[in-house]
Order: sequence, then C-alpha cells, then structure tokens
Amino acid sequence: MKIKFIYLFPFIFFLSLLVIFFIKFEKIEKGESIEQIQSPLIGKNIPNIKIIKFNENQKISFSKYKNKRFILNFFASWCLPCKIEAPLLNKVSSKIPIIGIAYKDKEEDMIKFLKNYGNPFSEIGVDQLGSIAIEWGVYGVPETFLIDENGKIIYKYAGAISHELYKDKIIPFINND
Amino acid sequence: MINEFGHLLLIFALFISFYSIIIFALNILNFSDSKLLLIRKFSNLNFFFIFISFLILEYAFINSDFSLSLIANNSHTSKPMIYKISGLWGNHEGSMLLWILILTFFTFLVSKTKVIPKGIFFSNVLGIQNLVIFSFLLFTLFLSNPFERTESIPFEGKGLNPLLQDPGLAFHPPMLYLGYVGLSISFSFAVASLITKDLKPNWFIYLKPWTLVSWCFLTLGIALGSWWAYYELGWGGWWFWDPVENASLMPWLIATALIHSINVVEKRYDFINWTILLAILGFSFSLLGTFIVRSGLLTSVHAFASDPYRGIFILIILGLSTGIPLFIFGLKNFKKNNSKFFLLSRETALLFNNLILIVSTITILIGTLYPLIIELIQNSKISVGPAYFNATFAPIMVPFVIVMIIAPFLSWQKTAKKNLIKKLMLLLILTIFGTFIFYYLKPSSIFGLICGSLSISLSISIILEVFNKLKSTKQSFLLDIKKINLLPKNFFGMIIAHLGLAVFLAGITGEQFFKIQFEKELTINQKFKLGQYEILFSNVKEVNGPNYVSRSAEFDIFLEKKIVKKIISEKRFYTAEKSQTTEAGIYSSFFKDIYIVFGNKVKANEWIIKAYLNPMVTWIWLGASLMALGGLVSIIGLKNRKILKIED
Repeated sequence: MKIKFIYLFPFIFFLSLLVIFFIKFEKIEKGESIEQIQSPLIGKNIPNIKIIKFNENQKISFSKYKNKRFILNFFASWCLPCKIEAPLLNKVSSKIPIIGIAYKDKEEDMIKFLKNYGNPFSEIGVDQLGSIAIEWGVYGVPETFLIDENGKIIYKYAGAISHELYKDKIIPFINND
Repeated sequence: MINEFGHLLLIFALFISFYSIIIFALNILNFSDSKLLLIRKFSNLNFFFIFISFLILEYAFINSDFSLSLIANNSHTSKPMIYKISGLWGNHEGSMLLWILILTFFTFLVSKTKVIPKGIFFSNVLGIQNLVIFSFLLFTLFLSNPFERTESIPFEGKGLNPLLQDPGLAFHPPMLYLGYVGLSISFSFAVASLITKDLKPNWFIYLKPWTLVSWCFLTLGIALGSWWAYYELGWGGWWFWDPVENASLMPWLIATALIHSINVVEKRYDFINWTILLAILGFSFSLLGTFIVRSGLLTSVHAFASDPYRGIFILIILGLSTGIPLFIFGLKNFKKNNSKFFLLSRETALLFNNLILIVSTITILIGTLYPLIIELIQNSKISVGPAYFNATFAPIMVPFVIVMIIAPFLSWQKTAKKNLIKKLMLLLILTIFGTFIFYYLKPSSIFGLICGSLSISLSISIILEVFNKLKSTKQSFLLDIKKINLLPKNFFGMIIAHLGLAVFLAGITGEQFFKIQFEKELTINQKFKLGQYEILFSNVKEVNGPNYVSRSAEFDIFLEKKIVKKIISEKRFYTAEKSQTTEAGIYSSFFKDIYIVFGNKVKANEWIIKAYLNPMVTWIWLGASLMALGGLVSIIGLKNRKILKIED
C-alpha cells in the first residue's frame, strides 16, 4: 500500500495541536500557570520609577500611602478582561485605595472606559510606552498588585480578578489577616 | 431516592454502550446479523435510559431539590419557572447530560432509519456512535456527575448567573448542542466507511440530511447567541470574536464546506476523500470547541467552572476520536477518481470555496489559540482582539462571496466561455448600477462600499439564476411560472440560504459602516439627537422584578416632533446572585434599531447615557434565519429525491 504524506497531514496537524494542549496542562498541573508564577518582586519594595499622573503634570507620590495598604492595577480600555473585572474592582475601591496605571492606552478611550465601567481609582498613572510595566514585571493587562503598609508587594495576580480571589486574597488583605 | 435512580440509569447506560462497543469490535472481525439486531436494540434502550435520567434531573430542578449540589449551586427558589427548567443546562454538569441525551437521541434516530441497508456498514456506524456515547458517559459519571448529593442541604440555592436568565439564552445551548452532536453522525458515517472501506452503500447520500440538520441547528444556535450578546451584554455589538463564539463558528464553517462538497460527490462522484475529511473534522471541531470552553484554557465571557482534570479527560476524548480516524484516513483513503477538471466549472468553484472555508477556519483557530501558544513560548500573556479577526477573516471572505456570485453561471464539468461572458456582463452592469446608488448613502469606509456592493451583487446573481431557470425558452425573456413545479426543492433551499447570506451581508454593512453613536452625561428631561431622531430622557424609576430589583430609565423617541416610541433601559441587580446586568432599551424596526444603554450615575440626577443608531442590524439575524430556512427546505427536498439504486 502506498502512503501519501498529504493524507497524513491533517493527522499531524491535529497531533501538534494536542501536544500544545498537553504542555499547557502539564504547566497547570505543576502550578506553573502565569497567575501562579510568583513575581520576583514579591516581598520587595515597590519599584522606584516615576509614574506621571494622568492630566496632571506631577508624579504619583507613594509616600502618601505610608503605613497604609493599597492596590495597584494595570489596565487598558482595549482589554476585555478589564471590562469583566471592572464591577468587582469598583466594589473593592470602596474599601481600599486603588492606583490605576493605564497601559498603552489612548486618553479619550481611557476616559470613555472609566465612564462606562466606573472609575475605581484614587489616582491614575499613565504608561504610554509600557516602560513602567516592564519595571513592575507586568506580563499583560489586567494585573493587580497588593501592597502592604511597608510599601512591600505581597501578592500579584495576572488576569481579571474573580470573586474567589476577592474572597480568598483581597478581603483578608484589606482586613490585614 | 428518585435521584439515585437517575444516577443508576446513567450507570446502566454506560454498561450498555460498553457492551455495544464489544459487539462493534467483534463485528469488525466477523459480522453476523443477530449482533446487528442487538446493537440496534441497545441504542434504543440507551436513549430511553438517558431520557428518563434527564427527566429526573429536570424534576429535581423544578422542585428546587437542594440536596443535589448541582442545583444548590445553580438554582434558587425565587427563579421564574422557565429558568428553573433551563437552569439544567446553564452549568457544566447538566449541559453534559443534555449533550449525551442529544447524542443518544441522534443514535436512536439513525438506528430507526429505513434507508440505510442493514449490514456491517450500518452496525459500524452505530458502534462508533456508542464509542462516543461511552466516553462522554464515563466523563460525566466520574468527573461531572449531575446527581452528586450535598453534604448538608442548604435552605436556599446560590442562583443562576443572571446573564443566563434570559429567553434567548434558555434555548441557545440546546440549539447549539443539536448542531454539534448532529455532526457526530456525519463523523460516524465517514469513519465507518473508512473502516469498511466500502463506498457501495453510497454513504454520502445518507450523510446529507444529517449534515443539513446539524448545520441548520448550528446556524440558529449561533444566531441566537449573537442576538443575546447584542441586547444583553449592552456593549453595542453583536459579535466579539470571543473564544467561545469562535468555537461555535469553526464547526459551522466546516459543516458549510461539507454540505457543498457532498453536492460534488452526488453530481460528479468526486471529492470523496475531501468529503470524508470534512465529515471527520466537523465533529472534531465541535469537540475542540467543547474542550476550549470547559477546560478553562482560555478566558472568555462564558465561564464554566474550570477543572484541569476535566480538561485532560476531554482532551483524551478529543485526541482519540480525532487522532485515530485521521490516522486511518492517512493510510486508508479512497482511490482518486481520474476525472478531468476544468477551471470554468461549478466543481472548481465549489472546491475553491471549500478551500476558503477551511483557510478561514484555520485563521480563526490560530487567532483563538495564539495567546496560548505565545504563553507557552514566551511566558507572556496577550489577547487577540477583534482587530486580528477583522484584518484576516473579513478579507478572506471577499473572494469567497465573489465566487458565490459567479458560481451559478457555471455549469458542471465545462462552461461555454461565450455564454458565460454574456451573462456576467449583465451581472456586472447591474452590480455597478447598484453600487452607484449605494455610494450616495456614503458608507464610512471603502470596505463598507465593497461589503455593500457584494451584498447587492449576490442578490442580483440569485435573482438572475431564478430568472434563467424560469425562462420559457432559452432565447426569450418571458417567464414561465409553471416551471416552478419542475424545479427540485433543494434548488429553492440553496436559493433561500444564499439569499440569507446576501441579507446577512447587508446587515453587517449597515451595522458596521453606517452606525451613529452618542455618549454623554444627561439629567432627566434633557434631550439629545441621534440621526434624524430626537430622544428625551424622561424618567428614572425603581422597579421590583421576580428575583431582582432594577433601576430603569425611560426614553421618548421623537421623529419630526412626533413621539414614535417609548423605551425603557434597565440596570438589574439580582439579589440571590449579588450581581448586576444591563438590559439595553431597544426600539427595533426593519431598517434600524435605536439602542440605548443606561450607564452609571456620575452625579446626583446625572447618568451616562449611551445610544446607538444601528441601521439594518436586524438583517443580520434575518439573514441567519433565512440560511437556516434554506437548509430546512433542502432537507424537505431530499425526501422527494431519487435515491440511487445500488446493487449490493
């Protein structure tokens, strides 16, 4: 029987897809998914980089938050998960200050976004070039950092925050448990 | 007690399907008629068991039996009855049971058909169906059991996701599953023909009705889902290229290709291997979609509880049920028919469009999985947005529609050039004329003009085709209406479905390129303009619904100082689920929709109001319904079709 390679091509194509899925699952099993990769910044002070405030020609001063806990959230108007996490973030904002960093976003889009989905941020910084994101080790938007009263990052989460995360991490963090 | 009985029936069904598989395996070695009788009986019994089990679970949902953890987690006593019923498939475990119910139902129907000769081929089809049933039953019983009890019975359930408490969404999953699972029949036919290596029974003739049925359901299911997204999410669009939407679009594209390639097999006995491949891929992509949705590999609006073990199990099902058939296909395909191909022939046009459908499917697949691949290679997370799909999928579809426009003028085998040019000239002139009229409506971009003129041209081509068929003699321009009776019904099916695409394209053109948007903070009694309409923000009220409280805004729509419609936009807060939904206020008419979203409060008595004037948007779903109707007409047409007599 003659075997023609072209007829085996669909099989090979599907096989390679399966391999990709399996590698991904291996990673999840080992707990290596991005959400769980602990940022090297954890336990360290927040990166010392100037963040220019939106619409104001001054930088965000973190000294204001001395002896206070706060949350820092990277977001963008073009990001779908940011829309998904917006209601929850608004809920969180009544309990703790949240600093928002607009990642590679257009001003007018961002204003629209905040109008439509609510503005949970006490202060908004602009990261037009993505350089602040690099300093903070951000993989993509949204990412959320929990920062304690000593200015140390104690937790980081990549992806839209969920009700589980809210219950398991954010509420204990706010209550300082 | 009764719930345990439902659970027990599922276990019985598992054993029955396992026994069917053993018969199937023995059949391959040596076939006997008595075994065939048994496997048919088993298929009937299996459907009966699953059906009773499904009814038991439905009964538990209706009675809010919170001793089942599934119901405690997904239902609530205050929910309206319809959502208690649809609550069964609004979650992972219940929807798996619905999936299996439909799977056994289709298998039951196949075992009842009288057209297929009762031989080894037929028993292989049932055997493969049972293999699929078995693996899904195993999955459901061990990793997503709907009949699992809670340890302590709660007084009240957690409720159903409010976004899903909607009539559109109540019927969207069953429709989609009927489509997905229907494709398993085409799959089984294809695999059985590969195993038996016997094309005598002309399996593609039996294949056609099943493929058409599942295609119709898929079309309706996808349309229903997109309609829901349009009015429920309040984002002002109708398609978001979300991974789950893509997961349903991919099998649809494959099924579309399959229907057309079956036509070529029927007419010219060609494309046989290609058709078999498509039949396998159709169901594979359905499984791939299920896998993507339920494994939690990709984030999307549709969040099912994600459990990596579930994902791995579905991955194994996907791997085996796709890998093995594709491997067999690689080794045991059918000999090529050495028929001649001419560039200007209908089969070439069909082949070309088949290829485009596959390319577009792969484009969507790449876009959907790209974030995953990038994450593996670079460990960084990215999201592929509509920008990618609009830049890749849309341009691919332009030549597709052009070929669709020309194809009716081509004949099978070979087309006379002279005749063709004459007909095409007429088409071209009419198209240019139509495009000019359209140009004066000022679409917002050149792509809008292309999209609109394609829609016009496609409709003209369809009209000309009907005209050609009805001409009393070749030369005259008089129509002979009596000829309608002579035309086959599936011709009308094709005409209606293609017209559906033209209407759909017109809808997209209107929605994408003529849309008017408005967005501002307004206080009560303020007016704003939207196109030629004037809209008054007249009132804000608090209303209590059956299981939610809502704040609703009233708008009066004026046209030339006369009130045409009052509409209400809501923000609902569901108390049991503690979450909020947006109900856009929509004034829908044949040519345009006025779509108003009641946004957040900015100051006392001041809210953000978003409004859209969406021209022709209803045509999108009208077009999709026409396509499904065309499919239905074709199925009815199959009944009167002469079935090729095959000697055994």
